[in-house]
Amino acid sequence: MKVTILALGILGLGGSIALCAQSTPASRAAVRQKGARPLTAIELLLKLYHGTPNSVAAAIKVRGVGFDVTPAIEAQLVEAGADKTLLALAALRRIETAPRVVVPTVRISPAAQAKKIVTKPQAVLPAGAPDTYAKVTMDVNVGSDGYVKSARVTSGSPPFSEAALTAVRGYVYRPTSLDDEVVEVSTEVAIEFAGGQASGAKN
Amino acid sequence: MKSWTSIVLTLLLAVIALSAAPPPAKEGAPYDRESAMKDFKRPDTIPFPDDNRYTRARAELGKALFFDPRLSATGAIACASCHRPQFSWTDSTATSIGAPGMPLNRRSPTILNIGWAEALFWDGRANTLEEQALGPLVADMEMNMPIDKAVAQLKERPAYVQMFEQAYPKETISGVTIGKAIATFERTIVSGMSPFDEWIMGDDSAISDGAKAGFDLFNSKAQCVKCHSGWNFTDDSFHDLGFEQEDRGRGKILPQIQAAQFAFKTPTLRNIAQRAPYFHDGSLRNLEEVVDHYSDGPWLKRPSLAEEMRKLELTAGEKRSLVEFMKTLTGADEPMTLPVLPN
Repeated sequence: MKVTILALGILGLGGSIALCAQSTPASRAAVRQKGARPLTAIELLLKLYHGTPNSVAAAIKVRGVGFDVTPAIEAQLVEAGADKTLLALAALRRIETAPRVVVPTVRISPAAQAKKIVTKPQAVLPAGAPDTYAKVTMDVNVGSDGYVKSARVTSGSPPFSEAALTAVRGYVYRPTSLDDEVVEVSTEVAIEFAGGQASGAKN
Repeated sequence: MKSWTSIVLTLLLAVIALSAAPPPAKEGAPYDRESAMKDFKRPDTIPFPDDNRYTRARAELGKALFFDPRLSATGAIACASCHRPQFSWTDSTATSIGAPGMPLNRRSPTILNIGWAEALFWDGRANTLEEQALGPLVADMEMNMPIDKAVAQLKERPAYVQMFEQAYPKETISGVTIGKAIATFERTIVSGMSPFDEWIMGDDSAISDGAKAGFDLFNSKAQCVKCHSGWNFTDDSFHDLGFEQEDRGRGKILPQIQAAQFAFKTPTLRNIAQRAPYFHDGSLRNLEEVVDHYSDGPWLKRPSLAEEMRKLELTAGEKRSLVEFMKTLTGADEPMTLPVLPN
């Protein structure tokens, strides 16, 4: 611990000593904050190879490390230029990566979700596509930011399904809130084609 | 009777369900995304050989040598002329230009993640990075610099002499230490974390559904994983992909081995979207053409043709998914600063 406290003093992190010194191995993991994912071992190595000691320490402070410093990893970090100070900082900034913030998903009817559309690119069929009537339905997941996260065709076939899928991935909605909490949305989108072009989306 | 009917129906449904599953990559092993993902986890350390461990002094010396055109007969080309950081450590031409006015017949291979390679060059003629590093230096079509001359030139530059002393204090300036230093620098060139890696690490939103479908195809129907395997997407082996060509590739090194004829090393797919044109001769312009080649040919039928080269019957959508997947392999690499060359 002496090494750790010394290291923190040097790196200007003295204010957080008490809090960290009391943490148990089980709870040593800091709660992952919003922002970049903690560094992997190889990312830290590459920062040591191509960066400066200050830039490496800054990266650890900001992002934390997402791996246990095993003897093999420690040996390579030391070889790459990590000193005791940096190793102590890495140990202290160990952050568990498993828990992820889970944003709840709510099912919204196609009609209700359609009212929130902001951007709706037209589905474009490739040249030579049949000019027959076709309908494509898709299950669509909209992220908490309103952008389409994923979409999957539930009925319809190429080339209509591919054109519809490309279009719906570009849809942007107003974000949805539930009890003052922004949520992800699961909904259905249908796009109809006639005369070789999209004749209008049902959502 | 009713129960018999339900049993028969259940069995029938089970058969239908199984036949609808994606074709397995290996016979008898049904494809499973979760297990396939485990095969692509990145390693935690970078392999350095015991007789040439990493030190900053070695990497800095290697970097200077790598970027130094004075190590060529004309003073005009360096290793970095054909392995440019801005082109994902290859160059922009289909087949590289070696010494001025000397077009080569192969594309410059990337040195990205080269520290893990088990055989070097397109034809695997070097077994270690230390050995490989000297190849282009002495090749008359490339840097055309005899080792003795390179050593003499380096010894005339006090800054280089000092760097060698710091990097290899018990050794002299020689072809051996030049190769070792360049190899050390090259081992630090590793692809950064990509959206695909984030997905493998558990962020389900890191790549699109289309890319995930592409990953499934990569590991099943499209069979890409048979050669582009593991975290670095290469089996480090050699395959004849059916191109009509005179270059016998690995066959030049192993003339007696049938499978080695017209075979070239499987390249990594890391950052692959940054490295067009593709294949050892740069003959295909983009990833779409690459997928078309594997799916539909044409392939020159000859005894050495890899057995994997057969019609895949990929749909247009499946091909797009594969390309979408490959684009998720582009990583956020560490910025590469250029060295100030020693006088």
